[in-house]
Amino acid sequence: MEPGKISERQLAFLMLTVTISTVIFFMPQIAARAVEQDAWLTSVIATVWGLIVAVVIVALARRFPGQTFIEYLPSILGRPLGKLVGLLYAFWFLSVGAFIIREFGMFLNITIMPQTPVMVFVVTITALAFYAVRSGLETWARVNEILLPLILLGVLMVIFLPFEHMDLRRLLPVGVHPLGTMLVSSFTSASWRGEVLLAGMFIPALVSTCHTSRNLALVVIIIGVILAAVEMAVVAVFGGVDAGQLELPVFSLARMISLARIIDRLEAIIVIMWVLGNFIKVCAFLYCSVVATAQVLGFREFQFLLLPVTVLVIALADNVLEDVAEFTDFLSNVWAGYSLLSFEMIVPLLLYLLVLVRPAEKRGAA
Amino acid sequence: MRKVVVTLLLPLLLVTGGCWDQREINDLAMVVATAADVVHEAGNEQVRLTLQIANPIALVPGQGGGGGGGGPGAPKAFWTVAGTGRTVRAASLSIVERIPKPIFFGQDRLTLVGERAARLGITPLLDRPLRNRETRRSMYLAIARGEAKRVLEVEMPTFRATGLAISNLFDLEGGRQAIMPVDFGEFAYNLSTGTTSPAAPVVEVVPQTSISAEDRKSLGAVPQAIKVSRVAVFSPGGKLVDFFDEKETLGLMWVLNKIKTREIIVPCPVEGPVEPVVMGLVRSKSRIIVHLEKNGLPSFEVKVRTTCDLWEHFGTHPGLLTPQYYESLERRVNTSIEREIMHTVRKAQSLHADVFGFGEEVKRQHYPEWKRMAQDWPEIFPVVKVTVKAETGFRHRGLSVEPVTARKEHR
Repeated sequence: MEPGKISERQLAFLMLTVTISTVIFFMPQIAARAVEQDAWLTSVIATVWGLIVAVVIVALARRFPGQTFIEYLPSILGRPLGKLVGLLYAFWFLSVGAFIIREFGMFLNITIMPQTPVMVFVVTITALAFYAVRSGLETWARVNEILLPLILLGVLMVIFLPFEHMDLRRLLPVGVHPLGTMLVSSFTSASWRGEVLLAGMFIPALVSTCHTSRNLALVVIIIGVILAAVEMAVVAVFGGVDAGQLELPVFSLARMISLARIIDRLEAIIVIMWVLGNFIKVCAFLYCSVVATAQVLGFREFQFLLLPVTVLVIALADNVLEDVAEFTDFLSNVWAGYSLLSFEMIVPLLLYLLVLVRPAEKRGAA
Repeated sequence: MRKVVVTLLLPLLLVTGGCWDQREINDLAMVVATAADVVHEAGNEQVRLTLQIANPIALVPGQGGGGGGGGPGAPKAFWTVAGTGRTVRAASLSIVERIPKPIFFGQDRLTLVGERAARLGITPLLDRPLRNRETRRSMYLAIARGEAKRVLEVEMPTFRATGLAISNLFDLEGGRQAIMPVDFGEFAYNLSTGTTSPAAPVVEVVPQTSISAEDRKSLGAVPQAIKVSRVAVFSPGGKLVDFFDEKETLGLMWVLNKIKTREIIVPCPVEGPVEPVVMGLVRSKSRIIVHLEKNGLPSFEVKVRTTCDLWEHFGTHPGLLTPQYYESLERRVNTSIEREIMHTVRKAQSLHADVFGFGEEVKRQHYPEWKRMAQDWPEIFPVVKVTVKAETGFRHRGLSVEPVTARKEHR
């Protein structure tokens, strides 16, 4: 179905952008609210769940070479159930895409452009993503290769440059919160990491697959390290309790940067990073929902679905999570159940178990 | 055809010159300092916000206005406006009606809170600056003795906007003597712990001292100046409890690692207090070690390591040559530091105000026990045992060895 081909590195870069670009904004608040100075520990624990997703999705793909996640669902679950689950996944891609777009608009409203109607941001970024996806997977995967270093540079600057305001003793005592609370918080943190699930839609487009599982595992670990560092920096600057009171701790962190009064007021970097990362992320989710829809419905082409799905995602983005309180409430209470504990980890894991238990049937169906 | 297209496109250049959301510096009312008071007005408590707004044309003395206080026609370096309202924002909105430019808080360097407002509780006054996306957490916070408004109305001879003068003072002189800069981030952190008593520097209006008698006659009233020294101590809930005097502030600054440089005056080991020696602090680092006593209470060991130089020997006697002299000086400096800190500890304990963050240290070092005592910390803090151990390293004695007259006595 996908005519383009991407390299293994491009996939790894793509997954890095997808998983990092939104998690570092609201997650530190949610983690710090739950476990104060232990916030960074939850993202370390979350790496385990992320690794499970990465390993399972590659293992599944190896069983069904040349097929996307949606294509081999009927082979595992049988045709009716497989199609139904596929449809759910198509909707999941669509809805998460809508959340991301809405979150993007909200972020810009909170931080630098309070007067602009949110739909201006929603429509512009989706239109841009529409253009990118229409130009083909190869195109925007390459664009991402250019953007990712910029995004990572921005994150690293925000982690290290406020060092004057850091007091690492604020990270003490380590690991004093109950394991249960930390696990629950790690599920939320891993829900973003679990977006490596999207790799399941891109693996058939890979030129080679020798290092895919290693690469994806590395992606999950790298994001874990970066996120832990971000959360440590946030807690070292604001303290565990106060970090949980900040709407966007990383944005506030960037505002603290002032090096010798020369490197000053760097929060614009954060906003640029956010815009670039979100652009690629929206592309990825838009692409996945279009391809998934086409494959569930059995079309050979997906390009003609791009426009209607884009319109749909804009409409959805206009109607979901309309204020920031709803949004953070969703992220801290619902998001883990909607992603990691269902679509991202549990369902693929069950699918893989089914494949292991019934190898003969799988061959027959395929 | 192409020529036609190019000609048609040319006028577009006219509109590419600017940014849509541009805000020119001259179009903004740039706030450099804010003062918040709570006043009793029209039967209820109102917030009175005073903004010090810079005049970009005359910000630097000697430019535009032409130095000094400026002639009658010279543009003023700043102006202050005040407005009242139920909340901080309501007060600033009432100012909007009287200012022809949009108020811009992005360059606000200092927030002053009046004494009365601080006593009633500072937390509600901090919400707006912490929530707003223009103001920064690195903005300085200070408490005004009396009304905060008066501080911003003082016209300084050098740096004409007091707000800028105070923030400059914190930038350059912070950590010298009893000047302890505190920014919003730090104050908010201490409030967020729930056990630490935040402290903030105190600003007061004093009569200017460098005025001759003739000047006083010609000026009529004594010009006023500002003085930044000492700290105000808050309860963990954010209500002003009391002021520390200079000595108590210095003791606090040792423990909070706020001292950059200062002098420590000690009696001379040979001649005693009649020939004092001024030791100059190069650097100091303190840490707090928490021990648990048998009775379940924590005890605190404050360890201060400092490096000192000899800055001044106010006397005539010889004897500055030997290492033993400096060992003795080091011991005297240690005693002086230990006394200062203990003085502050006793004051803080009498106020039930854990300004040092001792509670935080118990939490960091003995978490299980902390959970047991966190609730009763305000009662536990006044009775805990505190010991101070200072360790001073002497480095050098500047460019002279002994007083110029010293050798004569050996002849």
